[in-house]
Formats: sequence, structure tokens, C-alpha cells
Amino acid sequence: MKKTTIVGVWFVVVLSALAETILYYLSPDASVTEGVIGVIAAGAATTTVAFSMGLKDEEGAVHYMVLVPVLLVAVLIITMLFAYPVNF
Amino acid sequence: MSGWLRGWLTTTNHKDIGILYFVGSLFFGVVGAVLAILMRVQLFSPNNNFLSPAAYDQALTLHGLIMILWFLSPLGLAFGNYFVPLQIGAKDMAFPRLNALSFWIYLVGGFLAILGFFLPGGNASSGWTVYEPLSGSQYLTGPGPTLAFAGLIMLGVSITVSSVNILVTVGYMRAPGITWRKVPMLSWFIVFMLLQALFAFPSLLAALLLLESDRVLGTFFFASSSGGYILWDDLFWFFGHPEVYVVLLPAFGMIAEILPVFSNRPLSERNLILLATGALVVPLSYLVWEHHMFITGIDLTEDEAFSLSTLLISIPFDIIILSFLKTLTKATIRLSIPMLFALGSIVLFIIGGISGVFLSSFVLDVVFRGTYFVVAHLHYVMVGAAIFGLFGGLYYYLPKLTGRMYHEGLAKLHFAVSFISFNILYFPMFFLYEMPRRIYTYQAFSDWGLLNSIATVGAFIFAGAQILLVINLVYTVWWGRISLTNPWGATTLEWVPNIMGASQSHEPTHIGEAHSELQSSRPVELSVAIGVGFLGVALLTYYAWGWLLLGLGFVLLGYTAVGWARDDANGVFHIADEVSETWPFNRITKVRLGMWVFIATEVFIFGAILSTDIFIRVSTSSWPSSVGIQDIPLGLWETVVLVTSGVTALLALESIKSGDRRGLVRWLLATMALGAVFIAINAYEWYNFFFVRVPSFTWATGLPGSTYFFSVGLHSGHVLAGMAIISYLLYRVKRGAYSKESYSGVQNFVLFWLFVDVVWLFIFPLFYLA
Repeated sequence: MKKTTIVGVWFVVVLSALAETILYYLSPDASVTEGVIGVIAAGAATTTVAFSMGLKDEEGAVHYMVLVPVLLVAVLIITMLFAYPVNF
Repeated sequence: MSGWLRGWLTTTNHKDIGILYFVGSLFFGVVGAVLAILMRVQLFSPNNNFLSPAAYDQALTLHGLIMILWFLSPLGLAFGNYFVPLQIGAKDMAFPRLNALSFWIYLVGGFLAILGFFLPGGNASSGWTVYEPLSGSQYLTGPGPTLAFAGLIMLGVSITVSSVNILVTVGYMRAPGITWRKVPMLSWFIVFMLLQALFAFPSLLAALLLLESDRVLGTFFFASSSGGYILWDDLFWFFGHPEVYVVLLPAFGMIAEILPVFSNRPLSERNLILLATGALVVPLSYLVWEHHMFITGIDLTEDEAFSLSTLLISIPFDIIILSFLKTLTKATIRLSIPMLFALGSIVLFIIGGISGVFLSSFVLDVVFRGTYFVVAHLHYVMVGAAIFGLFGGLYYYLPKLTGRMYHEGLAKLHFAVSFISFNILYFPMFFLYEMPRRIYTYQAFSDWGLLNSIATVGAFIFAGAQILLVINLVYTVWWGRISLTNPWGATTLEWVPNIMGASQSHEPTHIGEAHSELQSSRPVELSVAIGVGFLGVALLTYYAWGWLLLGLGFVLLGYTAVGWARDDANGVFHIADEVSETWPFNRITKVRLGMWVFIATEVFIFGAILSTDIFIRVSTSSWPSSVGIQDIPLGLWETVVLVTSGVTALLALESIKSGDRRGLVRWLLATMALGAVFIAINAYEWYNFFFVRVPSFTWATGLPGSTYFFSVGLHSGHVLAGMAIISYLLYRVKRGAYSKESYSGVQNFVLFWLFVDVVWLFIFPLFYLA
């Protein structure tokens, strides 16, 4: 792996964390902010998995193996959140 | 210690492990059956007082847990361990030592669950579904339930490790010429089973870790009024429904092996069966779990969606059963013992399957859920179909396992009495659709008494029939006539002797022979260490000496881990790690593939736990802002430190790739140092929360504390594990390991470390910025 890739991913992830923090200070506890922060975090995580962990260079079957639990977790959380329309 | 005993304790041979699984699962089957008989005696007549309510509840709970998790699931694994490598022409499992570890963790976990009966207060008594809040320490007091749930955690770890191992074995180690199209049906169905176990058991593991945290640390995950019981239901049933197929599919694999052999014609619609199972059963099994929760008041749209998905999953099973029946049409059928059991399994599955369709309707489910109708349905599917299929497999493979033939007459009697008594036992329960399940007694105002009496008589006969199996097994081993190499005329690889390179299949077992260099005492030592530690965890709330046991567990764990590392460093136990050439895993090494599969399970465990945090937060009407709790700049620094440690880990890998061993050591030390800084910041934060902040913020002060400390604590545990791995790598470097050509250990560590980084990328915003 090129050192520029290693440093580049580090830069993207640190910048993402910084952006999340600034966003939070600008508009704390707003649900839109939380959503945007979540998207940024997911982007940083995807960048790390694809480049630093090298998933993009693996065979397609390995891609699916990692993608499947992510999708299952998404199904689980969406189902849980929408099962009950009101707070307990 | 005798050589014989040492051989069994240290073996890593897949056939030995398979036999150990057979013996272990049959032992737990006997324990579960004894508990069932106790329950049936209690229910024989109205107002009976053979068992106290508490004793009945404990027998009921452990009967379900032991039968499903320590008997049925591992029985499938027994076939998988013994026969999958033989069927695909592999020398052994991909990771033989991990294979042995799976078995011993399973066994010790089972003993812990049983040990709960003998502790003050008794065992778990909240049903095999471990429903909340009944399983919390406020209702289930005493160390027994905590110990039983710890045993369950060990079982979950065992099956997850087995899943990784067997999947990598089939994906990676097939002999040349054994393409996926040529993989035999049993191996295919074991793969399907494990594809479900791979992500189902992590859900159970996540739920049990949270439960034990509630019981031992005093967190509030399931005790809260913020949907705690619903949270358990979702996590449990996300595991629980695929578990039905984990139990069932190996039996279907056996049937698919038996039918063609004894009907003298190829299996009809083989590809369609594989397509239906792989493309429909496996994915849909993860999408039906909320039909177990129809009566909890979930949203109507979700009711309809899960009702539909449950109806849909019956279609592939229709395809499978119709294909089985098509195989039999116009065939010359030999009604040998394996065939009789296979046919019995099909009949019982049809009855159980049809009654299951009733339960997919959320209108009917409201009536039947929680009654003996469901008890009958689940026993027809999970006991009838699964047991008869697997017993058919046992008779089918006994000549292979022992080199001898079983007693035909005894086996026929076993089948006939089992089949008739099974229906005497369970069919009356369909008519008990108004009787609530899990009640310890009932009034004499209806016909419940007669139906229960018939069921109890059936239970005794069914249990007695299994003694015939035990007698026959003993007879076969000691007095059975020597069998032909291939007594049934089967065509799959495991029946062909002397395949070059493959594990030789005809001899019963190979302890200390071909695999003498691959024996290890570490798996059994590690399992005992974990068991002792868990025993301490269960006892420490009630007895101070529980802490001593916990400490002893850690000492044993450390001793074993160091021993494991020394074995590796000294080449005592060496498994080659070549690049795969089998589709779809070309160009990847075995260990790296195993690491990716392991990470996939970790993704689900952390995903389930973070989903839990989000669910609790959304379900709680008022949640404190993190500004008032967390030191956000410190959290940001933690993030930078951990992400930077990922860079140093990658630089360590790049160093060894270019042959720079000094660079490897330098960057590994840097990674270790950054990991230590991260842990130190964590510790500083926790110290402040506990001892400086007013009021203190701990895991026991409310849900914000519970979610934060559990998630961050679990993550920190992974960082510490990563640091332990760095120590191992440095030790091995000192012993001359790793070079430009051989660096897979470093590569796999980096993969793990970066995964731990990725998890933090979600923890930071979730707990510091929301």
C-alpha cells in the first residue's frame, strides 16, 4: 500500500471527526445534525474499510461477507425503531 | 494420565472432534430428556405436585436450552466435523486447533449450565427464550441463572468459531475437481446451516452480554421501562428463528444423502433444492423473526410484512419436500433403517410445517401463541423432523464411524416405537390449543387431563425407545459384524477409500497416528480457564471467593494464551497458510479468509450492541445532552490517537513487506504505545465519571451510563486484546518469525486493529456528539 494512501485515509478520517465535532457545536442535539454526523461517520468508516483494510482489493465474495452483516444490522435497527410508534 | 485419555483431550483431528461432538450431544440429549420426563410426570394429571412450581420452571427452561442448543445444534456439527472434510476431500479442518477449542468451549459451557441446578437458588427458570424482564436479577436471584447464561455465551462463541472454521474449510480446502456443483448435499446443507449460525449466534451473544451486564454489573438494558423487554425479544428472535433452520438443515442434508442411495435413483431437482435453500431459506430466515412477537403489539405494517415473509419461507420448503417425494416416485425403494428414519422425518416435517403456516397469520397467532399448539408445532419441526433425519444419518454412517454394522432388528424396533410414541406424545398437544404453555399444573375442569396423560405415556415410551438406540450403539461397537467399505453402494467421496491427500475415511479414528504433530492441550486448557472465570463471575455477587475464582480464571487464561503463543513460536503446532485457488476465494490465504469471516461476525455483534444503544435512546423520552457529560475535545483526541495507531500498524505491515524487520518492531511498538495512550485516556475519563464528577456517572446510574460504559468498555477490551496480539507478534519477531515472504500474522493483526478503529468511528459520534 502506498504511504500516500495510508496518510490520505488518516487525513480523511481525522478531518471527518473534526467536521462532526464542529457540526455538533454549531447545532447540538438537532436531529438533522445527528443524521449528517452519522453519514460522515459512515463515510469515514467505509473509507477505512475499503482502503486501509484493503477490502476493495479482495474478491467479490469477501465484499458480500462484510456487507451482509451490515445490511442485517440495518434491517434489525430499522425494524426495531419502527415497530413501536411511540416512546415507552 | 493414560495415553488414551490424553489422546482424546488433545486431539485436533476432525474425525475425533466429530466423535466427541456425537458423544457430547448425546450426553446432553439424555440430560434434556430426563428434564422432559420430570415435566411430563408433573403434567400427567391435574393439580399434581410432583414438582414444585420453581422446580418445574427450571426443568422447563433447561430442557429447552439443552435440547436445542447443546443437543440438536451440535449433533449437526458432529456430522459436519466428521464428514464435511471427507466429502470435499480435505485433509482436515482449516483450523484444527480452533475446531478442538469449539468443542471444549461447548462442553464446558454445557456443564456450567447444568451446574446452575446445584447452586443456592437453583437454575434459570424464565423459559428457553430467556424472556425479559423475567431473566433479570430482580426476578431470577442467585448465581445459578447467571452461570447458565454464561454457559450460553460459551456455546454462542463455540458455534460462531465452528461456523468460521467449517465455512473456510469448504470455501478454501476442497480437493481439485470438487467444484461447488460437485459438493455433496450433506456438506451443502451444513454450509447453509452455518451461514445462518454465522450471524444468528452473534445476535444471541450480544443479547447475553447485555443480560449478564444487567445481572452482574447492575446496568439497565433490559430492566428499563424504555422497551427493555422488546429489545430482548428482537435480539433473541433474530437469533431464534434462524436457529430453527440451524437445527433442521443438517437433517435435510442427511435425507438428501439417504434418499438417492436407498431409492436407487439420483436426487430429483438437486439444483432447485440448493437454489431454494441458498437463495430463499437462508436470507429469509433472517427476515421472519418478528412473527414470534405478533402479540407484543408491534405496528400493523410490520405485522403484515413479517406475516408475508413467514408465508414466503414456506415456499422453498415446499420445493425441497416435493423434490424429495419426486425422488421416491417410481423408484425401487429399499426400506433400510436410514431410509425409514428419513421418511419418518419427512412425514413429521409436513405435519409440523403445516401447523407452522397457521402461526404465520398474525390473527391466528394471537390465539395459538403461548399455547400447547405452538409446543406441538415446534416439537414436530425441531424434534421430529430434525431428530429422525439425524438418527437416519447416524444409522447411515455407523458403518463408517465404527467399521461395523448395527443390529437390524433393534434398529427397526427403535424406529417403529420412536415414530409411534413421538406422535402419541406430541399430536395430542395440537388439541391443547387452549392450554397455556409453561404452566406447572392445571385444574381438572376440561379434557386437558386426558390429553396430558396420553402425552406423558407417549413421553415414557419415546424415552424408552431411545434406550434401544444406546443398546444398539454399544452392540455395534463391541459385537457388530464387520461392515463392507461401502455397505449401501453410496457414491459420495466419503465412502471411497484411499483418496490421495484426503483424510482417510474408513478407519474409525486416528488418535495419535497421522495427526500426532497436530495435538494440543491448549484448547481444553483455554476452555477450562474461561469456565473457571465465568464461575467466578456468577458467584462474585453472592460470595467474596467468587473474586478468587475470577482471578484464577484470568491466571489460567494468561497461562494458556502464553502457552498457545509459545507453541506457535516453537512450531509445535503448525498449519500451512497458502493462497487459495478455489473459487470464489481465489488469491486469498486461509487465515486471512478466516479473519474476514471473523470480522463479519464482529460487525454483527457491535452492530447489534450499537443498535441497542440507538433503540434505547430513541425509546427514552428524555435523554441528557452529551455536552453535560462528556469532555468532547478529549473524545476527539482519543479518536485522533486511535486512528493514528491504525497508520502505525499499516506502516509496520509495509515495513515487513519490504523486509525491514527493525521497521516492523519500531512501528509495532508505536502502535502499542498509541493503544496504551488511548486506554489511558479512557481510564482517565472513567475515573472522572466515577470519582470526580458530581453527581457521579456510572453504568448503574441510568441508561445513558449503561449504554456508554458497556459499548466503550467492550471496545476497550478489543483494544487490549489487540495490544496482547502485538506482544505476541513481537515475541515471534524475536524468535525469528516474519519476513518479506511470510507476514500473514502481521497482516491479520492489522486487519483486526483497523476494524477496532472503525468501531470507534461510530462510538465517538454516538456517545460524544449526540
